[in-house]
Amino acid sequence: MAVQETTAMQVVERMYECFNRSDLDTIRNEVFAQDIKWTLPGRHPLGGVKTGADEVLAFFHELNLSGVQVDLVHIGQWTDDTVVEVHRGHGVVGDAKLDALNCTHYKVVNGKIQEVQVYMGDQYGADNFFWAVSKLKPIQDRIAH
Amino acid sequence: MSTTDVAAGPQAVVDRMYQCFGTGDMETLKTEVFAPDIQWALPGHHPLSGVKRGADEVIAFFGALIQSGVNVDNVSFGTIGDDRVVETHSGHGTVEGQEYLFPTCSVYTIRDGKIAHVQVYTADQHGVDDYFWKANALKPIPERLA
Repeated sequence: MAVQETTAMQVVERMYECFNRSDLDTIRNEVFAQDIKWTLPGRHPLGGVKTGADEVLAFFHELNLSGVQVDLVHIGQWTDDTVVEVHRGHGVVGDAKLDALNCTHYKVVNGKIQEVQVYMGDQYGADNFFWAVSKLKPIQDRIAH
Repeated sequence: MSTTDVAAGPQAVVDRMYQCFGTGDMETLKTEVFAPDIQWALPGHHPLSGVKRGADEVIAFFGALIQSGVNVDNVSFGTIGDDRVVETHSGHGTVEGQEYLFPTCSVYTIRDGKIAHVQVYTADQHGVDDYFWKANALKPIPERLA
């Protein structure tokens, strides 16, 4: 259905517009579903599933702190409810270097981003980079019980 | 200091560490067995990996290991020079229905009668990483981060 296709793409485009003008409130309230799940694969301090808009936005804040740049390579509607994007993530912090293509799938439900799955072009490269730039708290403060 | 004392010394310190863990005597560990600036390095890319600094974090690390369901057996010791103890052991754990075996080597460096540095070596790093991600959850972002 043409109307739905337009909607999923528009929602993701709106997310980008909001990020570009740092309008995180609109993302939290209008673009992300309240129980959004954002999955960045990897065995590193920023890897895993982020649950809820607050954690996803905190995750983006940490990405910004790590100096990672994201250049959009391609974005397009895949199915009625899913948008697919390819981006180049790159950054240099000391000896640690990140530079690889990733693919992101955004699933839109009821006009909001519900589920995001990232696919990595270089998982080991990303693991090494984020261990070098994002430090966990001491053991007693980092583990959820 | 006699040669005999030096040779027996490092092993005795590690033995005492095991005794303290066995009896739950964390106070003695902190004050008499671990150097105040002890570093305990566990390689890997998982929630318990990295360098632990200071007795409090090392003790918290052992608490987290126990919470993770890891058991250790087949422990044996040897010494290198007059300040190092080498330990090999088998770690065991079961998570999500899968059994894991971790053949592990630890090298303890003793300074002034206390454990100053520990470097762990793993025989199956990918298995270790897999296990500890399944057995532990990190706090959400940003609470987990320094």
